[in-house]
Amino acid sequence: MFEVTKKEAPSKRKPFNRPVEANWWTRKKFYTMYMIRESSVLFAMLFALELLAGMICAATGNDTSCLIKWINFMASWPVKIVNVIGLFAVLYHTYTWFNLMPKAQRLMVKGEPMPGSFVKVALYGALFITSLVAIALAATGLLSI
Amino acid sequence: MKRSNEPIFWSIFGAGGMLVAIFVPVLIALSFFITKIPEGEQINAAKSSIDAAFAWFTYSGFGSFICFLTISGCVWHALHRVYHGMHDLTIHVNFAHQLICYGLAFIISLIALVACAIRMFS
Repeated sequence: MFEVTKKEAPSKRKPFNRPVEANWWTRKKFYTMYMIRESSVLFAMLFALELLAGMICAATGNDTSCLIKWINFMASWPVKIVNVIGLFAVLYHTYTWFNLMPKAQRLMVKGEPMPGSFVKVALYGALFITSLVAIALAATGLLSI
Repeated sequence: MKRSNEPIFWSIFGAGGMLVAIFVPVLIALSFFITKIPEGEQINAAKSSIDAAFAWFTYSGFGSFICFLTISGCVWHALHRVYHGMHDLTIHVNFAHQLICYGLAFIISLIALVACAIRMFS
């Protein structure tokens, strides 16, 4: 009687793995744009870290001296220049994110799929309203400590 | 088969991506209008409403909660993309890479949460 052994024999085959260079994405514009999209999150993360610095300053106590230092840091030119580049990066993220959203999540209404353009218009509407509310609140001086 | 933890991280990634797409652009744009506060002066909404708004965002109880959500959403989204992006840069990812990426996102979120809790309960 043969016994079925559970242990597999070590494979003798030597698969050919085509070498991939780390700069593969520079050869085609489509790939380059993909990498730009992927790296745009680094700027969002950088901005999150700037905000984190502000939160840490605010948490040091009821004294606002550290918070004022943080505001002066945010008002400095190097930070502003980085943030302007970051704004373009994040807007590119927004554009690509809204483009892929109808593909990632199909919206069904009464058993019928909504067209992708409807989802996109709704998302741009949400972006517009959120921005408008934030600008209105920040510019009128309603938000203050 | 062992269950993958991917769906959990993917849903945080999705929520964070939406937040970065909708809320972060206006925040960065507004931050450009932050002005320096002269020596010896306090944050004054009448002089610069944007400065006051950013101070509110990090200092007030409700503001710091939104700030915590923003930071946490950004870093989870970003580090999930960095983790998967490493493959594109021909780095063969393993559990250690995952631990570093998600661990870093967790630590940053935790710091923001503690700072938020301090502002909410002080």
